[in-house]
Amino acid sequence: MLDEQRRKAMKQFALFGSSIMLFPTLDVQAKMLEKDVPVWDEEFDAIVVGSGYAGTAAMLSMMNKGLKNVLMIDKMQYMGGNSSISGGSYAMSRTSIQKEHGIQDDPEQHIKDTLKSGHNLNNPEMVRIMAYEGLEAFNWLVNNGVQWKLFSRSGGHSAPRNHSVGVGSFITMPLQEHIMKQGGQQRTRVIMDELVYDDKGRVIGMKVREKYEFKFDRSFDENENKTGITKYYRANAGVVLATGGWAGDPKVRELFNPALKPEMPTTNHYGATGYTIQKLIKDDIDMVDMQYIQIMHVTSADENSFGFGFRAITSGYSYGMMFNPKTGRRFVNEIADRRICSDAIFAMNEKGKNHPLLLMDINGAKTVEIDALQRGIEAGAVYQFETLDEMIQKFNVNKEPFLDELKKYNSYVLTGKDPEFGRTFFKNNDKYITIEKPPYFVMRPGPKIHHCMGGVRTTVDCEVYSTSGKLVEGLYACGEVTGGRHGYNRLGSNSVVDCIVFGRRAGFAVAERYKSLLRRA
Amino acid sequence: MKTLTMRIIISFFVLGLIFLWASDVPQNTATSNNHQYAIDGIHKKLSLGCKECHRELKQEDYSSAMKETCLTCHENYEKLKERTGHLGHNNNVHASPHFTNIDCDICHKSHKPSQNLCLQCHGQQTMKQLIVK
Amino acid sequence: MRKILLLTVIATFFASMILIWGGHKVVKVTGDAPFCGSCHAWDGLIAKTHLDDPVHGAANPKGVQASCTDCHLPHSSLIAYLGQKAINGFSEGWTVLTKDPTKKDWLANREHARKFYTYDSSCLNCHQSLLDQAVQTKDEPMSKMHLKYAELKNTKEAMQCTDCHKFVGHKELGLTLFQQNDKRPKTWEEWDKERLEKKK
Repeated sequence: MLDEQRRKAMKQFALFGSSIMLFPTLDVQAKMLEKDVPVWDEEFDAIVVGSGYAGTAAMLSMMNKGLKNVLMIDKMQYMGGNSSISGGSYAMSRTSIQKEHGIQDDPEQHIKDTLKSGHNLNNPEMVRIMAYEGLEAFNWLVNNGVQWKLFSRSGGHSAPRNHSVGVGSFITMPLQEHIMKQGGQQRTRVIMDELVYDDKGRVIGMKVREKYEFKFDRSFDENENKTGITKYYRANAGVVLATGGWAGDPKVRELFNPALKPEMPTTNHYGATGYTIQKLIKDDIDMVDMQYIQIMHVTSADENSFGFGFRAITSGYSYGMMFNPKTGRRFVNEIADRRICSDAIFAMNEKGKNHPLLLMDINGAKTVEIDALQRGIEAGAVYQFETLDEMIQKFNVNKEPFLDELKKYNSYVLTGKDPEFGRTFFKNNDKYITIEKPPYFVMRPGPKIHHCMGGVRTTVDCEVYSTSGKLVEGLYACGEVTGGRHGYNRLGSNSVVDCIVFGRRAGFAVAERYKSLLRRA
Repeated sequence: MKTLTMRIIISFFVLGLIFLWASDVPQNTATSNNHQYAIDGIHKKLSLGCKECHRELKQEDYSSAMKETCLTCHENYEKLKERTGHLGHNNNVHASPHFTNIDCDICHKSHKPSQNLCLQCHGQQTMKQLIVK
Repeated sequence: MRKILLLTVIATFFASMILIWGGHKVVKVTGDAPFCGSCHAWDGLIAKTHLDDPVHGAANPKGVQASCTDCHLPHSSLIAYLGQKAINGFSEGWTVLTKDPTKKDWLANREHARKFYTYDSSCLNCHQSLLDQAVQTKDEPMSKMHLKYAELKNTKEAMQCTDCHKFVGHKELGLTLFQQNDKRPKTWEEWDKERLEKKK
């Protein structure tokens, strides 16, 4: 009897084994299980993967709830990833700063703007949480040493509600200082290779490589990078994924949106690859909205990456006019969202041969901090002209229609209505800003691949779903690696809100799980 | 007498040549190694061997992740910031608003050419001209 | 006769006291900031970097500081010290009268200044025990470097103290000189003013 059974079992194993051999793509093993771990090198209460806005918010939040033995890892030789080089801008209504500027705004309007840009594909509950809870998170940042410096309006927002610190690291660094002061551990050059699951499918740790040496070459596939020493970290209460997006990875982004060609420029740092998201897909983690990858147009075509033109161009869209030099005419509402504007720019820029021109006068330029404007000029992203004729000559502008368009634009500003493209205008220091007074400043916007709206599907508490529809216990995700908050297109300055609000929620969720595990034990 | 004088003159001349050649023998300078990289040259002049920088026990474990070792001599990031202060606010590579206290080897390599991390995003002329040692 | 002798001796005594004490005082006064600054007024900013220096300057919390000539004149011997002082005095006086300091690139001059206007003998004048200490604590990185310095002395590869200790005595000198050269307006008000000036 036993022999019979054994023979049957052997046959089944043989069949199964040989069929596995037939799968050519299975050179990568499926999920890593606890029994595959030779020995746990280190043990932590929780591990946060990624050190940007979301990662630091999650870590500080869980530490504030009492967790002590926590580790943050980042694969790069520096911390903060894309967050550190971003504009550091937070969109929120009802802040004291907004009130000081005399702006009437409310979260329902913020929600409307967000859903409109997202084509209603966003998860409405998550949008509501961002718009309402975002104020508490905003104040939490202030309490942790973050200082808001600039106030402006970003495309797609119906009112000025964008608060900026200057540069993103001015948000991540104060948070990281607090983390260090409270005894949290932070390590660079540690890359997560695999999540480790127990036999019930719960995440209990990870396989990493320490002393990882990232290769600064966008065409290099990170899967080929074998540097580093393998180690196994146990994470008792859970793992928080805050690994960011993959807009800097020419191969992976093209997989999800074939229109994004490898040679297109990006704002992202080199580390923004699809390494982690590919691993998560392989682990049957559920994804949402993967085809929506944003191209943003607040960068200069005259610069390599994010560059120095950002501040001047932001002001230009609020207080200036964008036009096609060949026709001399405007072609889009300058303050519409990034998708609408980038599409419009692509439609007229003849694959980079006919960049649009964004023009403002000295009054518009004065809304930019002088050193930011000077940096833009030094970097070749901002051009200064004493007369309009000089500009017209330099860029070969179609003169008659342009001058007519300029007159029309100025009249729209003063009446507050733009019948052609529906642009709205806001006063600056109680005055509408037209384009009249020399010197004149011109920028040439060039859209660059920027942000991944899609990603890991989670609950509102950042618990991760698997493709089977069940939650993966012990696994949390926040920040750009997640999807569903922004839908079709993300509004500028909503990302920081997403990262901080949901980063905190992830941190609280892990802390809760830790407490409940202690109670059970 | 004529031949004796000639002999003396010639021998002095030859001795002079020998002396010149001897004094020109190259000493153990920084240029007499097979790398052209500036950072390697300075470290070699100070007779820094492999073990001075690489603290791993086995040679096959050697990695360039050794910020602590660099800082043993180069003290701290504040001092480095002062050292490159003459580049001005926009180009001070050690005073980046984005990253602080980053690993030295992102830019400074001993065994291959160094690179400028800031240049990946900031391409102004003054940044392009910087020589990374 | 005796009275004249006594008077001569007393007079000579007082004269030599005045000369020696006075001479010493002159040497001292002409070695510190207020005197140097009277001609070197154009580099008031550079002097300020010295005052701000927390190790060798006025900002030292323990109150120990070096005066200008403690570093910028050789201390190998009294003759070298006074001799170089005299030479410098003449050449600098000449420069002040005939040349324009605002035209010189002081940022680029730092390397030249380090090489020719700083002296190992002046560093070692205070930091005498450094080399002995290096022999005793051989394995420390600092000692290894100082032993190397001692080894390379008097060879073709000889190093100066300032080859490594480049920024001694003047805090943020590089940035200060850069900012001195940077004539761009720092605020929009300055920008407006500059524009008005240009129009005139």
